[in-house]
Amino acid sequence: MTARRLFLSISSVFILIFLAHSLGFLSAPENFFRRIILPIAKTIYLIELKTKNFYSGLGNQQNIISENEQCQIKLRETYLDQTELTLSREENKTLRAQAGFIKSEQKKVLAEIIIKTVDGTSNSMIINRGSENGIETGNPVFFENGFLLGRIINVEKNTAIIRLITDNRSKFTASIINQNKTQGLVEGEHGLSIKMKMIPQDENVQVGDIVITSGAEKNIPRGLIIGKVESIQKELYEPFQSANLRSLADLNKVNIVTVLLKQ
Amino acid sequence: MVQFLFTIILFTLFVSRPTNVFWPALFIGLFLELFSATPFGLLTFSLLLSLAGAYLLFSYFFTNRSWPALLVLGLCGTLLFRIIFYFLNLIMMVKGATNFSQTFNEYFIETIKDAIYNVILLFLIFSIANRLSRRLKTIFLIR
Repeated sequence: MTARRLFLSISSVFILIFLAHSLGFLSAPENFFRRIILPIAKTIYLIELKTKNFYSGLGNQQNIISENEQCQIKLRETYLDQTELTLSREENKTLRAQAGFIKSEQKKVLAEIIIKTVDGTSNSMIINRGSENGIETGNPVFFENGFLLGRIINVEKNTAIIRLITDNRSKFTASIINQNKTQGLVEGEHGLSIKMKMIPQDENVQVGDIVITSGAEKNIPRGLIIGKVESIQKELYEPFQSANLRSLADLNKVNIVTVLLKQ
Repeated sequence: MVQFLFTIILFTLFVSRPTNVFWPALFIGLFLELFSATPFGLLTFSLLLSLAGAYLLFSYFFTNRSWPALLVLGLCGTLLFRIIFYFLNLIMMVKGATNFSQTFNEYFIETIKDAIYNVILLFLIFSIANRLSRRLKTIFLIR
């Protein structure tokens, strides 16, 4: 087969497959292949997680690291309790003032992280639940009952893609648990960290303050923990100050997540 | 994973006929699309186009088949793939149709890392294949 003929035939097949995908004819075979590959990908991901954990606990350091992890877990639970308590107090106050208030429970779907997206162009992960479980684009995703992980950006029948909060294009409206309930915008930075921007200059932000979702966005409830303030950048000539946040858990070691469905 | 598979395909291009490379590359690309956050077809198209470029380079510019030639092919193929992929994503970003979120600096650094990784991997594959088969002696390509 000459090179020209080869290129022509491959181009034709590629265009045909692309058109078939665009028209939705390939969704059944795609889902079929995903179903076959997902268990293998999940096993590889779990091995990768275990390997990461293994290397971080080698030698005599293992016990210390294990104890440290236990303390971290307890500390995270404390942050969750503290947040819940603060929110409950606020809610209680509001409910007392307003008669006839009805709070509806948002539906949730449990999912497992299977694999990171293969193209490497964004900080995103694939989970093993999709549109057949009610998941839609824009649904928030959290783990351990209250730590924000990211948002759903793409949905197939039995898989979905989460954009992590550390991704460059990730944005969430946020609030600091302090006296003024300082509002701002949390953005991801280079897949490594999170920054809270657009904080008014006159707001008093302290290192160690907990940052949560503000509830201003549709379908993202108030109270999901984003992180803790690690450092503050405040320049008098700037209209806003910003704060670097540290996530309270390693986002790359998360396995089980919860997706909040739209009300 | 994309870079690892791309390296394998480049090595196959070096030692085999184009038919044995482009058809598997098409299906590998389509398979990887299932686990990609970019629009459908973008990854496969970049893969095929960069392989075509590598093939043209190998057919019309290289004069021998040796391990330095393989490494240069790997380097050029990787750079071609990364450049094509980046520009296609840029075009899609204008339409708002992609989830590409790396800055240019990040992408540039990742490109350098991938190029180094692929070159090292190609060298290892060549060494192992040469030791096992003894069929990869340096030869001059007859045009």
